[in-house]
Amino acid sequence: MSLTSGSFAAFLAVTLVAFYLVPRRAQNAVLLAASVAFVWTWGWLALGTLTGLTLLNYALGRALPGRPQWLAIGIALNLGALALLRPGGLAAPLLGGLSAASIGQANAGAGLLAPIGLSFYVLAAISYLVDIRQGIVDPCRNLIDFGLYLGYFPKLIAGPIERSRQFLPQLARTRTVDNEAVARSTGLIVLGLFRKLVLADSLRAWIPSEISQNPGDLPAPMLVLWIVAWMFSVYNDFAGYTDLARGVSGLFGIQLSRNFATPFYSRTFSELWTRWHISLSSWLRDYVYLPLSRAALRRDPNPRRFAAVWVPPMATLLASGLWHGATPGMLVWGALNGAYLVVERLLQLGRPTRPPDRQPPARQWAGRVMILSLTAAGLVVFLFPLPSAFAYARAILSLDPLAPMDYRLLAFVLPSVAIDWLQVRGKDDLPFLRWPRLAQATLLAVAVLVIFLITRANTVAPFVYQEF
Amino acid sequence: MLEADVRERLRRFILQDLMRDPQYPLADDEPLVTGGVLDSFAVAQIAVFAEHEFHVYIPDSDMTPDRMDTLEQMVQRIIRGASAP
Repeated sequence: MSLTSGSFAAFLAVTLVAFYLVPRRAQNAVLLAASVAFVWTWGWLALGTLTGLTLLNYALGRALPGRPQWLAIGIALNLGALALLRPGGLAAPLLGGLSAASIGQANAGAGLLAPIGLSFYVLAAISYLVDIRQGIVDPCRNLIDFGLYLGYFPKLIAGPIERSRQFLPQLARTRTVDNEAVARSTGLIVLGLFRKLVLADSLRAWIPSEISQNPGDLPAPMLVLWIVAWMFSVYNDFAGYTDLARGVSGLFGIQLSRNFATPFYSRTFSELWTRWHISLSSWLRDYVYLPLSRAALRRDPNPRRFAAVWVPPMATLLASGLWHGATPGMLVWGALNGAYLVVERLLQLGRPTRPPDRQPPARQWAGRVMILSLTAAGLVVFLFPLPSAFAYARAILSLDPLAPMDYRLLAFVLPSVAIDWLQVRGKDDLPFLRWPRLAQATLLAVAVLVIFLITRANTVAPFVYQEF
Repeated sequence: MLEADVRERLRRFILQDLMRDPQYPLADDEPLVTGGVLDSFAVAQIAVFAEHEFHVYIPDSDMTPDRMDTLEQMVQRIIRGASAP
């Protein structure tokens, strides 16, 4: 069941009615039952896999205090399940050529062992176990709450990757959903649908499917424009999903983490990684980057040493690449983005650091354009198999400025830039809620109309990140 | 451990070693991490500095932007760590 489908809207309506009809103490059980039903739509085996992993991590969490050796076993079991069961994983041949694309189809779930969003699920489980080991959280004693921590349906498909210390306390306290919360949740849902259905899917539909096969035969300027379009499509797809998940969850009084903070307005690479897929970036920072940095600095506090400059960013971004997929392309993507961070650090070491907001506007904009361009360049190896990616890059480098350009793609890029700009200026995901009532109502009506018209013309694609 | 001493030594470390700009007018409540002045590596440097200079261990879980964003927050975290049993 996709979050953008009519069946999900009906499912959500039924769940909301049940949630608000039952007493407070039964509300978490209603949410867990809804989450079980949500997973069940992918098939019994997917439900069995997630249930097994949930019970395993619950037991590991309870066993951890006093038995630290269980942490390594727990991490190994979770990573083993991911390596085995993820789409294209080690067990894929046994599962009949399981493909990520097939998971997105409504009736393809029966018989699948690998549930959508397994990699998000596994990272949440590992952070829970590590936090118990470090004494940051106590083991969860309530199996319903723990089941929701891992399997809460709004975040199940593609995160955000919640931390138990932020998520579990929300389940224990009385939740209030007032008019303001409903307005914010509704705003996020509409914004999410607009980003996904209008911007992301339209851009995807406009990009020819054969561009990675014979890029040398295509006009070079269009190859550049298509990559930029693809980058905005991936961003709006994932940010749209996150807005939708946060909006849906807000209707139950549970706040999910912010996952994007206008990343394409970043002026440095280190800033980019605090604004793009924030829940994954902060997970990697806490469990990979910071421990490696501290270990290197303890051995030698000189920040110019190889171990301090190279190892933490390269290891972190390679881990990020592996999380996206154990393929050569993802490793190259990770290494390339790690190298961006290394070069940036080496350049910073030789000059004073000033707050980016106080730098001259021209320098800030130059930084934004450079980050956007290099990120788009890295996307080529993220999107295509390596040989195609190299052919694509070669074709771009043979840039012919006189070749024709199809600027119609910008009709779906510029609204994305404008929405983000309003968010940057308003320092809020929903700056529209501060507009006069008439302007809000007009914007809502126009957005709903455009969503309706576009979805009649486009085919709704599965969310990109559910494939991870 | 004197709070003023911790503040002064930490301020000097941030200005000289992390920002490489000793003349910068750093305010106690200036957002350093969310303001883009310090990145995650600089936060790790502060954590190791606290271990070496004050013998205070700050766990990774406390090195988040909402807990270690300003000089004031960092000083208070070190003071709290030093007074912990």
